[in-house]
Formats: sequence, structure tokens, C-alpha cells
Amino acid sequence: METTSTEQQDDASRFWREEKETGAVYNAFLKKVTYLSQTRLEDENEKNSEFSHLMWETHKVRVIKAGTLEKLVESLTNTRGEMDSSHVNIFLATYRTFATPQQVLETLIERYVQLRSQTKEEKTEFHEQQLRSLKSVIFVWLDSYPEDFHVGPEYTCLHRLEQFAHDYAPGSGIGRKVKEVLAGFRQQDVELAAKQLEYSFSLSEGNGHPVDTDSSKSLALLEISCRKIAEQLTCRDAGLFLRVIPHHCLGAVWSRRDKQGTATDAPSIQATIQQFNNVSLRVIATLLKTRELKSSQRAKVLQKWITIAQDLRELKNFSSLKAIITGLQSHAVYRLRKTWSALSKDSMVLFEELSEIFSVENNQLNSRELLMKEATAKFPDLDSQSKSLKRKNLQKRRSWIDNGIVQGTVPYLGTFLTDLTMIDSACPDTTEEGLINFEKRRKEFEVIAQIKLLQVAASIYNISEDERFWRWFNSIRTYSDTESHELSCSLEPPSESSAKIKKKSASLNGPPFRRRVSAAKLYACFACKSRFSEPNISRSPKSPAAPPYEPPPAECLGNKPSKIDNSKLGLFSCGSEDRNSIASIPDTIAASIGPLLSHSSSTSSVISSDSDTPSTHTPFKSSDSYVIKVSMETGQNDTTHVYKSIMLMNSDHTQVVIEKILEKYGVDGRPDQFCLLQLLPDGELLIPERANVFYALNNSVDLKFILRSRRDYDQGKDKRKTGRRSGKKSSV
Amino acid sequence: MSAQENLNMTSKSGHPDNARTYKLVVVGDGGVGKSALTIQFFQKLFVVDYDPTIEDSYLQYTEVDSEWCMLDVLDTAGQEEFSAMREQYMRKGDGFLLVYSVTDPQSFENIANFHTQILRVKDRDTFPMIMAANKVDLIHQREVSEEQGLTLAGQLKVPYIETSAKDPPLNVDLAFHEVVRVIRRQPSPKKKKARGGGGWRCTVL
Repeated sequence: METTSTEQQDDASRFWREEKETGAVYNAFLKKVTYLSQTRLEDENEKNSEFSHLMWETHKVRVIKAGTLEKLVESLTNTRGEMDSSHVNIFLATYRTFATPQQVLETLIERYVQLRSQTKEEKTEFHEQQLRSLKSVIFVWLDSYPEDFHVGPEYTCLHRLEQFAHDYAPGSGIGRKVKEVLAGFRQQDVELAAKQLEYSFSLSEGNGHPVDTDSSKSLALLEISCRKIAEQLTCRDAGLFLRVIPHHCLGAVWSRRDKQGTATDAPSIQATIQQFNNVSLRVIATLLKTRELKSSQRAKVLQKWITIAQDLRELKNFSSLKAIITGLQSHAVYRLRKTWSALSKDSMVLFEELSEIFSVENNQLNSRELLMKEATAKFPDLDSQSKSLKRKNLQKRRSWIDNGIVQGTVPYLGTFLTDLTMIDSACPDTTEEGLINFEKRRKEFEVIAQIKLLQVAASIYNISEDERFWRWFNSIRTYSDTESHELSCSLEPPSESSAKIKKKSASLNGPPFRRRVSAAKLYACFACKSRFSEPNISRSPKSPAAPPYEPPPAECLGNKPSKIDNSKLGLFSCGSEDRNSIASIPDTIAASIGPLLSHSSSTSSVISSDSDTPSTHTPFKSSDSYVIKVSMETGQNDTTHVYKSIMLMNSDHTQVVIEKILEKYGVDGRPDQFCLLQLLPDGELLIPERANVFYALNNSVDLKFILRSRRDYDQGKDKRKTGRRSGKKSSV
Repeated sequence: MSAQENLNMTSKSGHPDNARTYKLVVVGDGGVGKSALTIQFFQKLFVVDYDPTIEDSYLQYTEVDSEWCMLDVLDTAGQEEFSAMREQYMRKGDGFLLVYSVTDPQSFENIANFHTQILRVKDRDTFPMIMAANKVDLIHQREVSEEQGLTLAGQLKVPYIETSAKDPPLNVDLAFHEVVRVIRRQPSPKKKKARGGGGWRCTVL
């Protein structure tokens, strides 16, 4: 039996070579195929071990890389004449980028007819198998993409197929299937026409009261339960997402959409985007309207939306969740310092945590990972650093389990659109030989397949739409960017909210959280840069004495005028000398997030940024707490990419903080076995064992920490003979 | 700082050399070729392995004027219609590439809107940006002249660069590097302060 176990490990395909023939390029793989089932094998072995040599055989598997339409259609069946379901799936999901349904249908029929005529001369099982497979492809096509044939009123493709069934495949069931589909279409057309009539009526009715007239509408928001709002948004979002036709997201359709014709190209996607924007704009509107509201009242609206966002998180509706966060982070709302100051600490923490999901850091790693993790999970895995929130989450979780609740999922569609746009830009449609680049389609299909999987998840929700809610929702008057800005400024004049408060929030704007970038990749970048620098750039030789740069009058930079000076006038250097450059990035950025900083009573300490203190870049903090990010180093394999956010109070001593971290990571251990280090741009700062962390840390940089076992730390220290330079901290 | 220490820190922070990271944001209408510029800048020879979903797809460690830095590019191509999101990602940028297509006058007109919006979000009168006139390889379809581009760039006080991502690429690396230069050149109101209280930077273990 030894052979079996080793052989199973080898039971994978290995790349062998590239094979070319006229009109196609293939990758050939060698694949070990096990013949007998395990149980039978064992029986055979018991009886007679000489059968063991029949256990497996090597097969050649060809995967088409590029080819003509004919060759791609040929590849729908494999070398044994069976349907290659993987290729069929990819082909049907993506072929519209290089052929019309008619063309594919004609090619398929041609292929069938050709095989059939061959069969007459030498009737082999192989040919029969291929014919059966091609018929299966047609069935799969009709089942999965009936809309391809829904081109009325003639339905040319369907009739062509009917003709084909009649002529070449009588009794195959295709004819019957076509009739079914056709009947379905006719029924749909009738219904659609009726609906449109209805719709036009309701439109003309609706025109009477399109916008709200009284200011009480923003109060109505507070009267509707958060859960209700979250559910209604989810009901709508899930419905829209289910209607998204995945192949409309492909770069060939979406990134080549006509900008003006908003509703003509990929209407299903446009509708999703429209709804996203509608939500964001309404979040903004409800916060900006009614000038008379006091900041504390406005903060209630803010809190309401944050609670709704949390409900959406529980419903795993990432679309409206992101829309609300987007609304709250729009400039007009974000700058309302007084309103944010009046927000409760728990809500602030919650907002921070929810925003963190959509951080753009590391190519949106957070939201990608979360989506992967939860897409098909029964319910969300909520976590929070706030104790009260944590308790609530646990209770909720228990009730979900007890009541057997299963949540659906709605993703944020934009990430997929960007990924597909990028693939479309990165890969050519055709190869140099003019063949259809099917590798590109395979790449695109990976994204399409995810969308399809999520659509299954989105169909799980069981919520019905409440008309009254949507009447209210649609009645909220929204504002343009400029209007919002003006309204916002009328609520809190610019001088007050921006000039003085030049602070920044660590989690929103801090110096980027640096993830380990794979060394290989970096090396690759480096090698690529040095060896293949772009030939067309006219780089003047580096002259240290280059004249100062003056942007206007504008001058065309680039290879034409060839007089760009690469003056090294940079006031910031990025070498190892000037550490301040890290801290000095963004007062600019800081200006815009002022509001987030001081949400507790004492604002004075935060406001005076005109003073000459280096703490200008105070990361997100209230007067008595910080949110810090901590990653954990575990032994030799210290590649923990993740970090967790920890709430740090002004009374927390090192041991307490370490305990919190250990608890958060679920690690058993005594606090004195670990040491806490702050990551600084130029090194690490050891927080002493008996210190008040709140005051010991360096708050002029990103609040990023690492928890390391004391043993590792001591070993590391021994290696460095230079010893430790004492760290004077600006904040102390 | 000794080489030994330097090495050690590199391994701890997972970052080469503590090079400064610049967050560059690519903005512009849909269809102006933003993604092609980004891809051209990042992929070059690696198109076969390209995976848009991995975390360091849009990170590049590079040398600009003999100073190494990490470029972290945010390009939300394909999400242009999610207009409510624009300000959110504008807030993240240290510098911007305002891209329009010379074949699309509408995209050119929108540049001023993007410019205004960025300044509003940043709450500043100026901010590091460059204007990239893209698709200049499409000579016959060109509708926005170099002169028009330069005039607008002059009004907005931003550098103007003509680009093309078609093979052979034109000024693509230059455009991204130029943003870094503009960021480095901007006068720093913080400089004086940083000097005044910059004691913390000695903190090394």
C-alpha cells in the first residue's frame, strides 16, 4: 500500500510544454489518473497484488491558451471527446468579449455537422462522444445564459437552433428545450410591456411630490428603527446585485462603457451604483439639512447612521455599509468637528472599526479578506475592541446560533469592477499571431466566478420590500458636492474647523501601515527598474545644481521639450537622514479630518496646532484614549500580517495593555513574558515594563505596535552590540 | 546609523530601508486610460503573472532623483460612477495624477472639477498634482491640443505631461515620478516645527 499513498501525493498535473498548431496554442500538462477506486483497490490487493500496476496512468491534458474561435469551440470537448466543463464555463462566461452569440452558435453547429459527416465514414465511439458533448454544451448554454437568445422579436438564434435540432439532432431534446425557452420569452415580453405601462403611469403620478417640503424629514430618520433601515437597504441591494449580469462587469463591456449613455451599457451595474450613491447622498443630506439643529442633535443623526452601518455589517451587506461610511467620510460631513465631538466614544470606536474594513491600504486587503471569509458563512464574525460592543456581539452571535439564522451577503461591486478593468488593461485581447487570448478570459473568469458565488449568497436573504420606507427614502432631497460643501460651511465656518485643527487620525490618514512586502517582488521591481527603465523618458543627467522648479508658466514635461530638471530641491528627503519626512506628510491631509479628533469634552488640547510642538500630527485620539494597532510576533515565524486595534486608556500600564493584546489574540501567556514595542519610522521603541503606555508612547507617528516575546527580544538585543540609544520622546 | 542596525530595522518593520512611502492617487474620468497608465507603470514585464487582487500589486519600490521611495498607487479605474466615493479616496493621497484623454474633450473639461475637489478636500490652495494628457499616440483622434492642455495647466499651476501607455510607452514613469518630485518640492510649513522639537527621531533600540 505504500505506493498508493505516495502516488496520491503526486496525483497532480505538471506543466509539460507549450504546443502549437495552426490557429491555437496550448499548454500541455501531464496528469496522473488513478483508475481504480480506493476500496476496490484494497480488495484487489488483498486478493492479488499483481493488479497494483494498473492503478494509474499518465494522461496528457491540454489547456488552450490562445486560439481562433473555431479552435476554442473545438476545445469545448477534451481529447477523449467528453465535455470539458471548466473550459465550457469560462468560454460561456466570457465569449461575448470576442464573438457574438450568432457567431458562436454557427461555429458550434458547423463543428457538429463536420463531426457528424465524418462519423458516417468511420463510426467511432470518439466521434459519437464528441457529438453528445456538443449537444450538452448547447443545453448548458441555454440553461445558463438564456438571455443570449433573448433577442426579440425575431429570436433568430433560437430559430436557428430549432432548425439545427430538426435537421441534425432530432430526438435530442434540443428542439423541445428551444420551444420551452421561446415560450418563456414570449411570456416575459408580455409581462414586461405591461410593467412598463404601469411604470410610466406611476412616474407621472410621482411627479407631484418629488422632494420633501418640510424639515421634519431628518427627524423621521430617527423615528425609523435602524434595523428596519438596514434591512430595507439590504433587500434592495441584494435584489440589484442578483440582477447584475456578471459578464457585464468584464472590462470589454464595463471599462469601454459609453460615458454619456449612462443607462444603456450594463444597466444592471449602473443601477447598483446608482443605489450606492443614493445612500451616500442621503447620509450627507440628513446630516446637513436643518441648520437649526444643535451639534448634539446632529450627532444623534450621525450616531443613527453608524448604528445602521453596524446593522448592515451584521447583515453582511458590504455595499450599503460602504455607502454609509463613504457618506460619513465625505468632506462636507467629515469636517463638522462639533458634531463629531458630540458623538459618544463607543460610536466613534465603532465608526473607526467599520471604516477600517474599507481601508484602501494594501490593495483593499481588509475588505477582500473579510469578503472571502464571510461570503458563504452563515453569519458575520464580529469583533470589537470596545468591551460593551464585544459583549453585545457575543449575545447576538448566540441568538443567531440559537435561532438558526443564516445571513446572505452583498459585496461592494466596485472592487470587482476595478479588478476586471485592470486585467483588461494588463492583458491584450489577442496574441501577436492574432489569436484570441484565452488566458486573459481565464483570469477574468476568476473574478466572474466570485461574483456568481456571491450571487448565490445574496439570494439567501428573506426580506420583503416596504414601500413606505422607500417613499421616505426617495423623498429625501440630496445635494451636489458644491451644495453640500456650502451647507457644511454654513454650519461650521471653515476658519473654525480647518485652520486651527490640523490633526490627523491614525487609522484614516496616518503614515501607511507597512506590511511586509514579499522580498521577491521587491527584488523583481528593483531588477525591472534598473534593467528596463523606460526608454522614452528624457531624464536629464542628475545635476545637483539644477535651478529651482517653478510649475507655472506650464511647460510640457516629458520627452518632447526635454528640459525637465530633476532638481533635488525636495525639502523632504527620503533617505535615512530625515526622519521628519514621515511625520511631515500631511498637515494638508490632517486639515480635512479635524473633526474626528476631539470627540470628548476637552478639545482645547487638540486644537492648538499653531503652536510649535512636534505633536502636530497627533494620531486619532480623544483626550484620554488612543486607538493603537498591534501586531503580534510569534516565535521565529514572525510573519503576522494582521494587526488588531486596541483601545488604550490614559490609565493603562504596560502589563494591562499586554494583557489586553493577549486576550485579543487569544494567546495564553503571562504579560511579563512579552514586551511591547512601538514601531517608529526609524526603529522600535521599547515601552518599559512599568510605564503608563498612554504617556510613554510616541504620538507624533503612527500608533503601531508589536508584541514580542521577551526571549526573542533579549536575543535580538544581544545580537546588536551597539546597545540601545536612549529614546527621547517628543510626547513626554 | 550602522549597517547592522539598518539591516535589523529593515527586518523588523518589513520595509526596505525606511524609505518614505508616497501615496499617489490617479483620478480622471472613465475611459481616459488611467488603468493602462497604472498597469504600464507597475507591470511592464510581469503581465503574465498579473493578479489585481494581491496586496502589493500597486506598490513599487523605486528611485526618484537617486532617493529610494515606496510608491503606493491608488487607481480606482472602473469605479468612476461611484461619485460619492471620490472625496474619500482623495483624502488619502499625498499627490495626484489628473488624467484626461486627448481624444475626449469632456474628460479634459472635468480636470478642473477634480482639481477643485482635491483642494477642497485637502483644504489648501495648492496641492501636489500633475496633469497627464493621455492617449497622445492617437494622433488622428486627438481633440484636445497641447496648447489647450498647457493653458489649463498654467491656470491650475500644475505640471503638464503628455503620456501614452501604448507600446512604446511615453512618459509613464516620468508622470509618476514627477508627482513624487512635486511632493518633495512643496514648501513645508512643518519644517521649522520639526526642527524645533525633533528629539524623538533619535529613538532607536
